[in-house]
Amino acid sequence: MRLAQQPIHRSSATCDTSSVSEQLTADLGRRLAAGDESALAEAYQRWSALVYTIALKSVGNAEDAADITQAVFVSAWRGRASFNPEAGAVPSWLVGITRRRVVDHFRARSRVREISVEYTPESPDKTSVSQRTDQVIDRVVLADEIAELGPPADQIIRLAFYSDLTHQQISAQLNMPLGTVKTHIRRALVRMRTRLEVTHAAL
Amino acid sequence: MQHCDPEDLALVALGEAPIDTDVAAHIAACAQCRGELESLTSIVSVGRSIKLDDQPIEPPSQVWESVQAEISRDASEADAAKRNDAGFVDLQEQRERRKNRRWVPIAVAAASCLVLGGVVGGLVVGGASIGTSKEDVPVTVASGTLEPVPGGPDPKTTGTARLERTNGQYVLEVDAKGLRNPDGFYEVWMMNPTTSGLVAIGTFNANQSKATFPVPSGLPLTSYTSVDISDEPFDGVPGHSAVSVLRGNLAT
Repeated sequence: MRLAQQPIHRSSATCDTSSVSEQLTADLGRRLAAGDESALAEAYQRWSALVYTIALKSVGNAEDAADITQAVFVSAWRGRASFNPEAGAVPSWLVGITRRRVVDHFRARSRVREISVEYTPESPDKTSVSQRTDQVIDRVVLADEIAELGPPADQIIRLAFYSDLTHQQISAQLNMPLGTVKTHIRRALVRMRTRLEVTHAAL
Repeated sequence: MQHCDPEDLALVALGEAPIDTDVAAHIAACAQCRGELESLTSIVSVGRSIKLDDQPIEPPSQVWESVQAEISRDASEADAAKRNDAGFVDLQEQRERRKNRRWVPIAVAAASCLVLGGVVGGLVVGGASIGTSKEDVPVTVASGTLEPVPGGPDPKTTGTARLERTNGQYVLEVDAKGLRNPDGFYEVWMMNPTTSGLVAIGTFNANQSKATFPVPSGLPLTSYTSVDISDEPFDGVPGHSAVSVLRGNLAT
Protein backbone atom coordinates (compact mmCIF):
# COMPACT_ATOMS: atom_id res chain seq x y z
CA MET A 1 0.00 0.00 0.00
CA ARG A 2 1.35 3.39 -0.95
CA LEU A 3 0.64 6.06 1.55
CA ALA A 4 1.33 9.75 1.67
CA GLN A 5 3.95 10.92 4.10
CA GLN A 6 1.98 14.05 4.91
CA PRO A 7 -1.63 14.32 5.95
CA ILE A 8 -3.86 16.11 3.49
CA HIS A 9 -4.24 19.79 4.03
CA ARG A 10 -6.52 21.96 1.97
CA SER A 11 -3.97 24.77 2.11
CA SER A 12 -1.21 22.68 0.62
CA ALA A 13 -3.63 21.56 -2.06
CA THR A 14 -4.54 25.10 -3.07
CA CYS A 15 -0.85 25.94 -3.51
CA ASP A 16 -1.00 23.87 -6.69
CA THR A 17 -3.08 26.52 -8.34
CA SER A 18 -0.89 29.55 -7.78
CA SER A 19 0.35 30.53 -11.18
CA VAL A 20 1.34 33.39 -13.35
CA SER A 21 -2.21 33.68 -14.63
CA GLU A 22 -3.49 34.05 -11.07
CA GLN A 23 -1.06 36.84 -10.39
CA LEU A 24 -2.13 38.56 -13.58
CA THR A 25 -5.75 38.23 -12.52
CA ALA A 26 -4.98 39.70 -9.10
CA ASP A 27 -3.18 42.59 -10.76
CA LEU A 28 -6.13 43.13 -13.08
CA GLY A 29 -8.43 43.28 -10.04
CA ARG A 30 -6.31 45.94 -8.37
CA ARG A 31 -6.24 48.03 -11.54
CA LEU A 32 -9.99 47.69 -11.95
CA ALA A 33 -10.62 48.72 -8.34
CA ALA A 34 -8.36 51.72 -8.91
CA GLY A 35 -10.51 52.84 -11.85
CA ASP A 36 -8.26 51.80 -14.73
CA GLU A 37 -10.60 51.53 -17.71
CA SER A 38 -8.20 49.32 -19.66
CA ALA A 39 -8.57 46.74 -16.88
CA LEU A 40 -12.29 46.58 -17.61
CA ALA A 41 -11.54 46.03 -21.30
CA GLU A 42 -9.20 43.17 -20.39
CA ALA A 43 -11.74 41.70 -17.99
CA TYR A 44 -14.33 41.88 -20.75
CA GLN A 45 -12.03 40.23 -23.24
CA ARG A 46 -11.21 37.45 -20.83
CA TRP A 47 -14.55 36.77 -19.11
CA SER A 48 -17.39 38.14 -21.24
CA ALA A 49 -17.78 34.67 -22.76
CA LEU A 50 -18.12 33.20 -19.27
CA VAL A 51 -20.73 35.79 -18.27
CA TYR A 52 -22.61 35.58 -21.57
CA THR A 53 -22.73 31.79 -21.61
CA ILE A 54 -23.99 31.57 -18.01
CA ALA A 55 -26.70 34.11 -18.91
CA LEU A 56 -27.53 32.37 -22.18
CA LYS A 57 -27.79 28.91 -20.63
CA SER A 58 -29.88 30.31 -17.77
CA VAL A 59 -32.38 32.55 -19.57
CA GLY A 60 -32.40 30.67 -22.87
CA ASN A 61 -32.33 33.50 -25.37
CA ALA A 62 -29.48 35.40 -26.90
CA GLU A 63 -31.00 38.88 -26.73
CA ASP A 64 -31.65 38.77 -22.97
CA ALA A 65 -28.26 37.16 -22.43
CA ALA A 66 -26.59 40.04 -24.29
CA ASP A 67 -28.53 42.58 -22.18
CA ILE A 68 -27.50 40.82 -18.99
CA THR A 69 -23.86 40.70 -20.11
CA GLN A 70 -23.91 44.44 -20.79
CA ALA A 71 -25.52 45.12 -17.40
CA VAL A 72 -22.96 42.94 -15.61
CA PHE A 73 -19.94 44.80 -16.99
CA VAL A 74 -21.52 48.22 -16.49
CA SER A 75 -22.35 47.22 -12.90
CA ALA A 76 -18.83 45.93 -12.40
CA TRP A 77 -17.43 49.26 -13.54
CA ARG A 78 -19.80 51.37 -11.48
CA GLY A 79 -19.33 49.14 -8.46
CA ARG A 80 -15.58 48.79 -8.84
CA ALA A 81 -15.01 50.59 -5.54
CA SER A 82 -16.82 47.76 -3.77
CA PHE A 83 -14.59 45.13 -5.35
CA ASN A 84 -12.16 43.81 -2.80
CA PRO A 85 -9.16 42.25 -4.54
CA GLU A 86 -8.25 40.39 -1.34
CA ALA A 87 -11.66 38.73 -1.01
CA GLY A 88 -11.76 36.95 -4.36
CA ALA A 89 -10.76 37.13 -7.96
CA VAL A 90 -12.42 39.19 -10.68
CA PRO A 91 -14.04 36.23 -12.49
CA SER A 92 -15.83 35.04 -9.34
CA TRP A 93 -17.01 38.55 -8.66
CA LEU A 94 -18.36 38.83 -12.22
CA VAL A 95 -20.11 35.46 -11.93
CA GLY A 96 -21.72 36.66 -8.68
CA ILE A 97 -23.07 39.76 -10.43
CA THR A 98 -24.27 37.61 -13.33
CA ARG A 99 -26.17 35.34 -10.99
CA ARG A 100 -28.02 38.26 -9.41
CA ARG A 101 -28.94 39.64 -12.83
CA VAL A 102 -30.24 36.26 -13.99
CA VAL A 103 -32.37 35.82 -10.87
CA ASP A 104 -33.73 39.38 -11.27
CA HIS A 105 -34.55 38.60 -14.88
CA PHE A 106 -36.67 35.61 -13.88
CA ARG A 107 -38.44 37.53 -11.14
CA ALA A 108 -39.33 40.34 -13.52
CA ARG A 109 -40.51 37.92 -16.17
CA SER A 110 -42.66 35.81 -13.90
CA ARG A 111 -44.37 38.99 -12.74
CA VAL A 112 -45.11 40.07 -16.31
CA ARG A 113 -46.59 36.70 -17.07
CA GLU A 114 -48.70 36.90 -13.96
CA ILE A 115 -50.21 40.22 -15.01
CA SER A 116 -50.68 39.38 -18.67
CA VAL A 117 -52.76 36.26 -18.08
CA GLU A 118 -54.77 37.94 -15.33
CA TYR A 119 -54.62 35.20 -12.80
CA THR A 120 -52.19 34.49 -10.05
CA PRO A 121 -50.22 31.36 -10.61
CA GLU A 122 -48.10 29.90 -7.87
CA SER A 123 -45.54 32.37 -6.65
CA PRO A 124 -42.36 32.16 -8.71
CA ASP A 125 -40.26 29.38 -7.35
CA LYS A 126 -37.20 31.25 -6.21
CA THR A 127 -35.41 28.14 -5.11
CA SER A 128 -35.67 26.34 -8.39
CA VAL A 129 -34.52 29.39 -10.37
CA SER A 130 -31.54 29.84 -8.06
CA GLN A 131 -30.71 26.16 -8.09
CA ARG A 132 -30.91 25.90 -11.83
CA THR A 133 -28.76 29.00 -12.20
CA ASP A 134 -26.22 27.57 -9.75
CA GLN A 135 -25.99 24.34 -11.73
CA VAL A 136 -25.43 26.28 -14.94
CA ILE A 137 -22.76 28.35 -13.19
CA ASP A 138 -20.96 25.22 -11.94
CA ARG A 139 -20.90 23.64 -15.38
CA VAL A 140 -19.85 26.73 -17.34
CA VAL A 141 -17.23 27.75 -14.76
CA LEU A 142 -15.72 24.25 -14.76
CA ALA A 143 -15.75 24.15 -18.57
CA ASP A 144 -13.84 27.43 -18.45
CA GLU A 145 -11.41 26.08 -15.87
CA ILE A 146 -10.72 22.92 -17.90
CA ALA A 147 -9.89 25.08 -20.91
CA GLU A 148 -7.66 27.16 -18.62
CA LEU A 149 -5.70 24.09 -17.52
CA GLY A 150 -3.82 24.11 -20.77
CA PRO A 151 -1.95 21.17 -22.28
CA PRO A 152 -1.51 18.45 -21.39
CA ALA A 153 -3.75 18.61 -18.30
CA ASP A 154 -6.86 19.69 -20.22
CA GLN A 155 -6.50 16.75 -22.57
CA ILE A 156 -5.86 14.31 -19.71
CA ILE A 157 -8.96 15.50 -17.87
CA ARG A 158 -11.11 15.25 -21.00
CA LEU A 159 -9.92 11.70 -21.59
CA ALA A 160 -10.66 10.81 -17.95
CA PHE A 161 -14.03 12.57 -17.87
CA TYR A 162 -15.55 11.99 -21.27
CA SER A 163 -13.71 9.01 -22.74
CA ASP A 164 -13.75 7.20 -19.38
CA LEU A 165 -10.15 6.10 -19.79
CA THR A 166 -8.22 4.89 -16.76
CA HIS A 167 -4.93 6.58 -15.93
CA GLN A 168 -3.10 3.57 -17.39
CA GLN A 169 -4.98 3.94 -20.68
CA ILE A 170 -4.32 7.68 -20.75
CA SER A 171 -0.66 7.05 -20.02
CA ALA A 172 -0.48 4.63 -22.93
CA GLN A 173 -2.42 6.84 -25.32
CA LEU A 174 -0.36 9.97 -24.61
CA ASN A 175 2.87 8.05 -24.18
CA MET A 176 3.37 9.67 -20.80
CA PRO A 177 4.65 8.16 -17.53
CA LEU A 178 1.92 6.88 -15.19
CA GLY A 179 3.11 9.09 -12.34
CA THR A 180 2.90 12.22 -14.52
CA VAL A 181 -0.67 11.41 -15.54
CA LYS A 182 -1.67 10.87 -11.91
CA THR A 183 -0.08 14.12 -10.82
CA HIS A 184 -1.86 16.05 -13.59
CA ILE A 185 -5.20 14.47 -12.67
CA ARG A 186 -4.84 15.31 -8.99
CA ARG A 187 -3.71 18.89 -9.65
CA ALA A 188 -6.44 19.50 -12.18
CA LEU A 189 -9.19 18.24 -9.88
CA VAL A 190 -7.88 20.37 -7.02
CA ARG A 191 -7.72 23.43 -9.27
CA MET A 192 -11.29 22.82 -10.39
CA ARG A 193 -12.40 22.40 -6.79
CA THR A 194 -10.69 25.64 -5.76
CA ARG A 195 -12.28 27.49 -8.65
CA LEU A 196 -15.75 26.31 -7.64
CA GLU A 197 -15.11 27.11 -3.97
CA VAL A 198 -14.01 30.63 -4.81
CA THR A 199 -16.96 31.06 -7.18
CA HIS A 200 -19.46 29.89 -4.56
CA ALA A 201 -17.95 32.20 -1.95
CA ALA A 202 -18.69 35.16 -4.23
CA LEU A 203 -22.31 34.23 -5.03
CA MET B 1 -2.35 5.71 10.57
CA GLN B 2 -0.99 7.34 7.46
CA HIS B 3 -3.44 8.82 4.99
CA CYS B 4 -4.06 7.82 1.41
CA ASP B 5 -1.92 9.19 -1.36
CA PRO B 6 -3.92 12.19 -2.64
CA GLU B 7 -3.23 11.10 -6.21
CA ASP B 8 -4.76 7.69 -5.51
CA LEU B 9 -7.81 9.38 -4.06
CA ALA B 10 -8.17 11.45 -7.21
CA LEU B 11 -8.23 8.24 -9.27
CA VAL B 12 -10.85 6.71 -7.00
CA ALA B 13 -12.92 9.89 -7.43
CA LEU B 14 -12.79 9.28 -11.19
CA GLY B 15 -14.24 5.82 -10.64
CA GLU B 16 -11.08 3.75 -10.82
CA ALA B 17 -10.83 0.85 -8.39
CA PRO B 18 -8.65 1.56 -5.33
CA ILE B 19 -5.02 0.46 -5.76
CA ASP B 20 -5.48 -2.26 -3.18
CA THR B 21 -7.74 -3.35 -0.36
CA ASP B 22 -5.74 -1.42 2.25
CA VAL B 23 -6.58 1.85 0.51
CA ALA B 24 -10.25 0.90 0.36
CA ALA B 25 -10.20 -0.04 4.03
CA HIS B 26 -8.47 3.20 4.98
CA ILE B 27 -11.02 5.30 3.08
CA ALA B 28 -13.82 3.50 4.86
CA ALA B 29 -12.23 4.16 8.23
CA CYS B 30 -10.81 7.68 7.84
CA ALA B 31 -13.17 10.65 7.82
CA GLN B 32 -10.49 13.00 6.50
CA CYS B 33 -9.68 10.92 3.44
CA ARG B 34 -13.35 10.21 2.88
CA GLY B 35 -14.12 13.93 2.97
CA GLU B 36 -11.37 14.58 0.45
CA LEU B 37 -12.69 11.79 -1.77
CA GLU B 38 -16.24 13.09 -1.57
CA SER B 39 -15.25 16.62 -2.52
CA LEU B 40 -13.22 15.36 -5.50
CA THR B 41 -16.05 13.02 -6.51
CA SER B 42 -18.50 15.92 -6.61
CA ILE B 43 -16.09 17.84 -8.86
CA VAL B 44 -15.89 14.82 -11.18
CA SER B 45 -19.67 14.56 -11.24
CA VAL B 46 -20.14 18.24 -12.14
CA GLY B 47 -17.31 17.93 -14.68
CA ARG B 48 -18.96 14.95 -16.36
CA SER B 49 -22.31 16.77 -16.49
CA ILE B 50 -20.79 19.53 -18.67
CA LYS B 51 -22.54 19.62 -22.02
CA LEU B 52 -21.08 20.71 -25.28
CA ASP B 53 -22.97 24.03 -25.19
CA ASP B 54 -21.67 24.82 -21.70
CA GLN B 55 -18.38 25.82 -23.32
CA PRO B 56 -18.10 29.59 -23.01
CA ILE B 57 -18.92 31.38 -26.24
CA GLU B 58 -18.35 35.05 -27.06
CA PRO B 59 -21.25 37.52 -26.81
CA PRO B 60 -22.19 39.57 -29.90
CA SER B 61 -19.62 42.30 -30.56
CA GLN B 62 -22.06 45.18 -30.03
CA VAL B 63 -22.32 44.30 -26.33
CA TRP B 64 -18.89 45.77 -25.62
CA GLU B 65 -19.78 48.87 -27.61
CA SER B 66 -22.88 49.34 -25.47
CA VAL B 67 -20.83 48.89 -22.28
CA GLN B 68 -18.36 51.51 -23.48
CA ALA B 69 -21.15 53.90 -24.43
CA GLU B 70 -22.73 53.65 -20.98
CA ILE B 71 -19.42 54.11 -19.24
CA SER B 72 -18.35 57.12 -21.26
CA ARG B 73 -21.71 58.70 -20.47
CA ASP B 74 -20.90 58.21 -16.76
CA ALA B 75 -17.52 59.84 -17.30
CA SER B 76 -18.90 62.91 -19.02
CA GLU B 77 -21.46 63.33 -16.24
CA ALA B 78 -18.66 63.11 -13.68
CA ASP B 79 -16.70 65.77 -15.58
CA ALA B 80 -19.70 68.06 -15.51
CA ALA B 81 -19.97 67.49 -11.78
CA LYS B 82 -16.29 68.38 -11.31
CA ARG B 83 -16.70 71.65 -13.16
CA ASN B 84 -19.53 72.58 -10.85
CA ASP B 85 -17.52 71.76 -7.76
CA ALA B 86 -15.15 74.56 -8.72
CA GLY B 87 -17.73 77.25 -8.28
CA PHE B 88 -21.36 76.67 -7.59
CA VAL B 89 -23.83 73.87 -7.24
CA ASP B 90 -26.08 73.53 -10.22
CA LEU B 91 -29.22 71.75 -9.11
CA GLN B 92 -30.18 70.84 -12.62
CA GLU B 93 -26.78 69.28 -13.13
CA GLN B 94 -27.14 67.33 -9.92
CA ARG B 95 -30.41 65.96 -11.10
CA GLU B 96 -28.85 64.98 -14.41
CA ARG B 97 -26.02 63.28 -12.63
CA ARG B 98 -28.15 61.05 -10.51
CA LYS B 99 -30.43 60.10 -13.34
CA ASN B 100 -28.72 56.97 -14.41
CA ARG B 101 -26.94 56.20 -11.22
CA ARG B 102 -27.00 52.61 -10.22
CA TRP B 103 -29.19 51.89 -7.29
CA VAL B 104 -26.75 50.21 -4.99
CA PRO B 105 -28.29 50.42 -1.51
CA ILE B 106 -31.67 49.20 -2.52
CA ALA B 107 -30.61 46.51 -4.95
CA VAL B 108 -31.23 43.82 -2.38
CA ALA B 109 -34.65 45.14 -1.49
CA ALA B 110 -35.51 45.42 -5.15
CA ALA B 111 -34.54 41.84 -5.76
CA SER B 112 -36.51 40.57 -2.81
CA CYS B 113 -39.81 42.22 -3.55
CA LEU B 114 -40.70 41.16 -7.03
CA VAL B 115 -39.52 44.06 -9.08
CA LEU B 116 -42.16 44.51 -11.67
CA GLY B 117 -40.96 43.68 -15.08
CA GLY B 118 -40.98 45.56 -18.29
CA VAL B 119 -43.73 45.15 -20.78
CA VAL B 120 -41.27 46.15 -23.40
CA GLY B 121 -43.08 44.99 -26.47
CA GLY B 122 -46.29 46.56 -25.27
CA LEU B 123 -44.75 49.97 -24.83
CA VAL B 124 -43.13 49.82 -28.22
CA VAL B 125 -46.40 48.90 -29.82
CA GLY B 126 -48.12 51.62 -27.82
CA GLY B 127 -45.68 54.14 -29.19
CA ALA B 128 -45.83 53.00 -32.74
CA SER B 129 -49.57 52.58 -33.00
CA ILE B 130 -50.14 56.31 -32.63
CA GLY B 131 -47.74 56.91 -35.45
CA THR B 132 -46.85 60.40 -36.55
CA SER B 133 -50.29 61.95 -36.46
CA LYS B 134 -50.45 65.12 -34.42
CA GLU B 135 -52.25 64.73 -31.13
CA ASP B 136 -53.58 67.52 -29.04
CA VAL B 137 -55.33 65.25 -26.58
CA PRO B 138 -53.24 63.27 -24.13
CA VAL B 139 -53.00 59.59 -25.02
CA THR B 140 -52.49 57.08 -22.25
CA VAL B 141 -49.56 54.96 -23.35
CA ALA B 142 -49.25 52.75 -20.31
CA SER B 143 -50.49 52.55 -16.77
CA GLY B 144 -50.18 50.46 -13.67
CA THR B 145 -51.08 50.01 -10.05
CA LEU B 146 -48.58 51.00 -7.37
CA GLU B 147 -48.43 48.59 -4.50
CA PRO B 148 -46.88 48.97 -1.05
CA VAL B 149 -43.35 47.62 -1.05
CA PRO B 150 -43.23 44.65 1.34
CA GLY B 151 -41.44 45.72 4.48
CA GLY B 152 -41.83 49.35 3.49
CA PRO B 153 -42.76 52.12 5.92
CA ASP B 154 -46.36 52.50 4.83
CA PRO B 155 -48.10 49.21 4.03
CA LYS B 156 -51.52 50.80 3.68
CA THR B 157 -50.81 53.18 0.81
CA THR B 158 -52.17 52.61 -2.65
CA GLY B 159 -51.63 54.33 -5.91
CA THR B 160 -51.67 54.34 -9.67
CA ALA B 161 -49.31 55.66 -12.31
CA ARG B 162 -50.14 56.62 -15.87
CA LEU B 163 -47.79 57.45 -18.70
CA GLU B 164 -49.38 59.91 -21.11
CA ARG B 165 -48.20 61.44 -24.32
CA THR B 166 -49.19 64.67 -25.98
CA ASN B 167 -47.48 65.67 -29.22
CA GLY B 168 -44.57 63.40 -28.51
CA GLN B 169 -44.03 64.68 -24.97
CA TYR B 170 -44.45 62.18 -22.18
CA VAL B 171 -45.75 62.91 -18.71
CA LEU B 172 -46.14 60.61 -15.76
CA GLU B 173 -49.25 61.09 -13.71
CA VAL B 174 -49.05 59.67 -10.21
CA ASP B 175 -51.99 59.26 -7.89
CA ALA B 176 -51.24 58.06 -4.38
CA LYS B 177 -53.28 57.91 -1.21
CA GLY B 178 -52.31 57.42 2.40
CA LEU B 179 -48.76 58.73 2.27
CA ARG B 180 -47.56 60.11 5.58
CA ASN B 181 -44.08 61.43 6.03
CA PRO B 182 -44.04 64.41 8.40
CA ASP B 183 -40.23 64.65 8.50
CA GLY B 184 -39.49 64.48 4.82
CA PHE B 185 -40.95 64.18 1.37
CA TYR B 186 -41.46 61.65 -1.40
CA GLU B 187 -39.55 61.31 -4.61
CA VAL B 188 -40.91 59.67 -7.75
CA TRP B 189 -38.53 57.56 -9.82
CA MET B 190 -38.70 55.65 -13.06
CA MET B 191 -36.78 52.45 -12.83
CA ASN B 192 -35.23 49.94 -15.16
CA PRO B 193 -36.09 46.59 -13.54
CA THR B 194 -33.29 44.79 -15.34
CA THR B 195 -30.45 47.03 -14.26
CA SER B 196 -32.11 48.68 -11.23
CA GLY B 197 -31.20 51.98 -12.90
CA LEU B 198 -33.17 54.95 -11.59
CA VAL B 199 -34.20 58.28 -12.99
CA ALA B 200 -35.59 60.91 -10.63
CA ILE B 201 -38.84 62.32 -11.99
CA GLY B 202 -39.87 64.74 -9.26
CA THR B 203 -40.94 65.25 -5.68
CA PHE B 204 -44.31 64.34 -4.30
CA ASN B 205 -45.79 65.83 -1.16
CA ALA B 206 -47.63 63.79 1.43
CA ASN B 207 -50.65 66.11 1.42
CA GLN B 208 -51.25 65.93 -2.33
CA SER B 209 -52.89 62.95 -3.90
CA LYS B 210 -52.12 63.53 -7.54
CA ALA B 211 -49.21 65.03 -9.43
CA THR B 212 -48.00 65.11 -13.02
CA PHE B 213 -44.33 65.06 -13.96
CA PRO B 214 -42.69 65.65 -17.32
CA VAL B 215 -40.65 62.61 -18.34
CA PRO B 216 -37.16 63.58 -19.53
CA SER B 217 -37.18 63.31 -23.30
CA GLY B 218 -34.90 60.60 -24.56
CA LEU B 219 -35.49 58.35 -21.55
CA PRO B 220 -35.68 54.80 -22.93
CA LEU B 221 -39.23 54.03 -21.90
CA THR B 222 -38.99 50.49 -23.13
CA SER B 223 -36.44 49.84 -20.37
CA TYR B 224 -37.65 52.17 -17.62
CA THR B 225 -40.93 50.42 -17.10
CA SER B 226 -41.32 50.57 -13.34
CA VAL B 227 -42.35 53.44 -11.09
CA ASP B 228 -41.02 53.77 -7.57
CA ILE B 229 -41.91 56.26 -4.83
CA SER B 230 -39.31 56.66 -2.11
CA ASP B 231 -39.48 58.13 1.35
CA GLU B 232 -36.81 60.85 1.49
CA PRO B 233 -35.48 62.71 4.53
CA PHE B 234 -34.34 66.34 4.22
CA ASP B 235 -30.71 65.35 4.44
CA GLY B 236 -29.42 67.09 1.35
CA VAL B 237 -28.42 63.78 -0.21
CA PRO B 238 -29.82 63.72 -3.76
CA GLY B 239 -29.81 59.94 -4.31
CA HIS B 240 -32.44 57.35 -3.51
CA SER B 241 -32.85 56.87 0.26
CA ALA B 242 -33.22 53.11 -0.24
CA VAL B 243 -36.62 53.29 1.46
CA SER B 244 -39.32 52.58 -1.11
CA VAL B 245 -42.97 53.04 -0.23
CA LEU B 246 -44.83 52.21 -3.42
CA ARG B 247 -43.83 50.48 -6.57
CA GLY B 248 -45.45 49.16 -9.70
CA ASN B 249 -44.91 48.64 -13.38
CA LEU B 250 -46.39 50.26 -16.43
CA ALA B 251 -48.23 48.12 -18.90
CA THR B 252 -50.15 48.96 -22.02
